[in-house]
Amino acid sequence: MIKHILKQIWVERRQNSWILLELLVVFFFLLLMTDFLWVKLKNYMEPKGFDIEHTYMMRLKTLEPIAPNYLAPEENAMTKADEAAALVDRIRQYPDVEAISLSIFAEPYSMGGLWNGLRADTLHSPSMRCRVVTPSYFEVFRIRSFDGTPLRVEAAGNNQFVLTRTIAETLFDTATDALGKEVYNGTKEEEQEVPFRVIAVSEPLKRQDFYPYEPAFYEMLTPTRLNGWLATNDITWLNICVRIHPGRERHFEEMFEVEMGDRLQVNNLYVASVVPSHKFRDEVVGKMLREDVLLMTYVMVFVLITVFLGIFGTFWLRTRQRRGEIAIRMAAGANRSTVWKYMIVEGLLLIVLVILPATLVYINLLYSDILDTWRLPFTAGRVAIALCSSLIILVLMVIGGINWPARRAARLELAEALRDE
Amino acid sequence: MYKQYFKQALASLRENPLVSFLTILGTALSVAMMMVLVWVYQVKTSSFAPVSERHRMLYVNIIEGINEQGSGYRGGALGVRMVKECFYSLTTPETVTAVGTNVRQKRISVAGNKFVREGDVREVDHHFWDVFDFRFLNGSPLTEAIFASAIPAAVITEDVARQFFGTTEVVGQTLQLDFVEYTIQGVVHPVSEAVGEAYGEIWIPYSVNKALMNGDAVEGIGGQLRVCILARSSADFAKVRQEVNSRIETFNSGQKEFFANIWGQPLTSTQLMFTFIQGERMSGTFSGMLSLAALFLLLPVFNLLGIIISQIRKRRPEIGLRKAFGATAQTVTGQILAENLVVTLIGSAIGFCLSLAFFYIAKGSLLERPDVDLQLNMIIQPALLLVVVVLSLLINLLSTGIPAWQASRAQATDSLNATN
Repeated sequence: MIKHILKQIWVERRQNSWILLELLVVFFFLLLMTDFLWVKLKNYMEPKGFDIEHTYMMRLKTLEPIAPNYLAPEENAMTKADEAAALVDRIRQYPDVEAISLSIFAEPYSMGGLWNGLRADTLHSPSMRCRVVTPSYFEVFRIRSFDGTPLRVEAAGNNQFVLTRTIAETLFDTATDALGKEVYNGTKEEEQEVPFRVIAVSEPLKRQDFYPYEPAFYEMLTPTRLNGWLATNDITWLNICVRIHPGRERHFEEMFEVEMGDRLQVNNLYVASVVPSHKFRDEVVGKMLREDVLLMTYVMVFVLITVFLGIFGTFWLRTRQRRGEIAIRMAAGANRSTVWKYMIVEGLLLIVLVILPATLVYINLLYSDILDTWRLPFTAGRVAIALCSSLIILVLMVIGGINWPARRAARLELAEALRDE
Repeated sequence: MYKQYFKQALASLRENPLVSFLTILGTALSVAMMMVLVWVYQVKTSSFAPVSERHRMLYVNIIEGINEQGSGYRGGALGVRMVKECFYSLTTPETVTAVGTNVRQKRISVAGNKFVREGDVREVDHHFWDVFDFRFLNGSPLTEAIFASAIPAAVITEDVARQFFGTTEVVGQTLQLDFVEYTIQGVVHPVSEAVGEAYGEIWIPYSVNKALMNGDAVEGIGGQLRVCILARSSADFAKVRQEVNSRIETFNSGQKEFFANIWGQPLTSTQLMFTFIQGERMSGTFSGMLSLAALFLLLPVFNLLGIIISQIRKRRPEIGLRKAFGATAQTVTGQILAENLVVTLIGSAIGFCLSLAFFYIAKGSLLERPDVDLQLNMIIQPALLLVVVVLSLLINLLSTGIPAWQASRAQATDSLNATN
């Protein structure tokens, strides 16, 4: 039967060329779209390496010189680092707070920050994100050690690093090997360099849900380091992050600023706003969902509807034109289910003809990195998933589009059709 | 004759309702999706209040200031010195304004009112009000005197006024932004967030911001401002660009280490949408939109082609008959096109209505901001009707043109001889 249908497709190649061309284009787009969505889904499902539930970030600001109550620098006896520390101490006293950390460029979902390369022995790493954090940061964001246990740093000293597993395995063979080793900050060798000690290795970390795991490391923030940094940087770039006891979010959101009142201000430094971490997530991940994933879904729905209509219309007209042929088939002994089966198989064979060329172009695009191979590398599995899901969608659509016309053809009254002929 | 075509078109629509339905739906979908793209383009580039003069506006959004080793400031906003020396001094354009790149979040509070919230504050200069036409309900724009003396004064939207004072009659009253008192100078009609260059809830003079005024990243090139130039007419764009470039050259000749580069800027709003400024190549948005447009247009046309080829094949005897009676290929093609145009126009009308719904649903995805507030004057513009008509004609020509031409050229005898 298949050979027979192929022969017929070839004989009617002129009529079939349009539908073949359409199926080819559609299958190609389906491959691209399912690939895109799969990559996004895969990234989205992977653990991120931190937990933002019940956490908040506090935005710091300093009074402008023209503000009332502005304290001129000469009247201010406290150092900037002391001010920040005082603020942190006061917030820590608030009963809803479970853990609090002070950090530089380390708030979750921030896309900028400090970038640095690392060096261990002769190995150099590419430039990567460095988050400068106090030890409680790991508690606030529930960051785990590479072996799955909660990562805890009791007391931080100067020049200490926590590596993520990704970079630890690049510089040393395994995460365990990295513990206690010395690494250097920056890729250029300089005189009198101070080595940093690796005090822990964390689980792999993402910047946001839709990114792959990237190498990154943490530097421990000590009072000395903070003082040094503040000498040349703006204090409002510091982040205070807190974790709230579960169930206290509402109370915290409503009452924290009211109850703390003036205590949220130390000289010119004050907490301008308390933002739940999921807001930052929404700004980054929500944006991507809206502007990439959702948009692609709209396009895909449009394509599917259009293609369904096209296949339906074309097969509808074809069966009408082929009334005579079908009638002869039935006269020659084909029963109704054979006619129906015949038409469905013809549609499926048309799909088979377009699989190879479309897939070849798709693989080629992957191979030449035109498609996103940064988020998910080019593997046979990735091709297989795009291929299978596109095929399933297309087959369902073709069967759906042919089913009704084919049924109508099968219900054909033999005598009438033959008389037309 | 056209009445005849119209009658025939309606008759064939009725004769095969399913196929007609498919054709109309296909056209409607295609038009709807194309219209959504047109709207994105329109919101970003066309003129409507308060950007009524967009057609004669030019933008400079980013600048580079690097030294001979190639290090320095890459692709950020402009500094005050740069703006003063290269842009405020321009003579060709009508006005030049410098505004803060982004809105700033500031805590809004009013003495005697417990309600406090963060709001979007935009830092602007006094030319801002000549370039953008805000509708003032009360009061006046920030004046040159206010800007020059760095007086903390603010223009606020009607919504802010009502929220904090309960009325719009608030000129002369004060409100606090991050504890600093600002005198309210004017109350304006709100602006949509989709108008990125002018949006804000509160506008204050940027001269009040000491950090911005005193900042001199890479010898005054980098900073926190971007520039909108209002040319006297769009014909002046070339002259304006020329003057800007000569100013930059003069500026650079006085630089010690870092040199300014603005690539191909100033750009029009249309160019901004389609250009990746750094490196002077097309941006992803452009190729993305082009391929989407191609997909939206070609896929339904493909479908229609399949249906129309079969339809026309059925009419071969009729075409043969017409030709036998002396109709030329052109007349026959014209007739089929005209008949099909009826279907296309019905589809386009439905598609236009559908696109309104689509655009509303997908606006968050398309305009790159959640919960964008769209105003009627951004959506409905006279040029739209023309776009819809051109789109229908294009779809009509693409889907019917080729099969009609083929059928009309067939020999009359063959056509007459053909069955079904």
